[in-house]
Amino acid sequence: MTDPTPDVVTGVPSSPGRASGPARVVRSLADFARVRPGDVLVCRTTDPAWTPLFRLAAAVVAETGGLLSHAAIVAREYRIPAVVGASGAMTRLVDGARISVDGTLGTVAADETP
Amino acid sequence: MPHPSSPDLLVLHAVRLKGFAETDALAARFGLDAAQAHEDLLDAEAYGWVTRAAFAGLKGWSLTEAGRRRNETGLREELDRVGAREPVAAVHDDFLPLNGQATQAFTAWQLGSMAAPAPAPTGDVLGQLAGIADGLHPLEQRLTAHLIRFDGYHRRFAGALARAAADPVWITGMEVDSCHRIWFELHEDLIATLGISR
Repeated sequence: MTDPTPDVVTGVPSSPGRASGPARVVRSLADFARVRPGDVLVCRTTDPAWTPLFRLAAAVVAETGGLLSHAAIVAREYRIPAVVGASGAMTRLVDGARISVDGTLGTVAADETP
Repeated sequence: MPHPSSPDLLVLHAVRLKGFAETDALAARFGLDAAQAHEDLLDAEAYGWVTRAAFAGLKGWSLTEAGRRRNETGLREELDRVGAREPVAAVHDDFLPLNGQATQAFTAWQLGSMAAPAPAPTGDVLGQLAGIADGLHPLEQRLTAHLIRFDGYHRRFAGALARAAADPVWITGMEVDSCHRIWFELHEDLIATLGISR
């Protein structure tokens, strides 16, 4: 499957570095079991219940928050790239599609598929 | 008059605050009997309030959406029963500017230490966090005047801070009861208690 017009989401660059992986759109606790090692966690916000997901995720994209938010602080602690305050991420990023996160620039791009 | 919370409220609230934890850690959070906490968690699982899952090699209990609602109902009923809504809301109002300082200090520390080739000096952040600990103490006293379950945040924060000079993992680390984890737990406790969002 190809995506000729990759959507780009931007937000606050919150934890430096770049990583790629399948987008995993997580709306609630009921979705947690779908997260696999190497996925990019795409969510609205995070709280203490979400912390174990950061151990699995290659990167984090959150629709809300800023540099000082829980998601940003925890992502930096796990040394994974994070973009937060990424408005529209949960609707514009397709679950399962490979995306690349640049936590230094604050950008999220859909990977080109061969 | 300080009010003790019921054990069944506390076991569910421990899951809320810890997010994802094993029975022993949940029981320890409020000094509950571990065997009884285990029974209470199995009951809560039967009601669909908690679920036991494994993530990244860790096993633990977490709240379901129904459990989160049940926890918030229990907290709301307790808050109204002891007539503490106004004072707790006032503490939350006073917590917010301190929260801004704390998250700023944690963030500055992390960004500085990520950029530094060698272990970063901790002087600035430890001084800032000491000031935040001083601000936390009276807030906790105002909370525990109504609800005993708020006890311990300042003691834990000061303890983590004391260890941070020798090992900076105690500032923002995720594998220990670090200053950031304790701080974030208090924030979660306040918003859960007041039934508000972050």
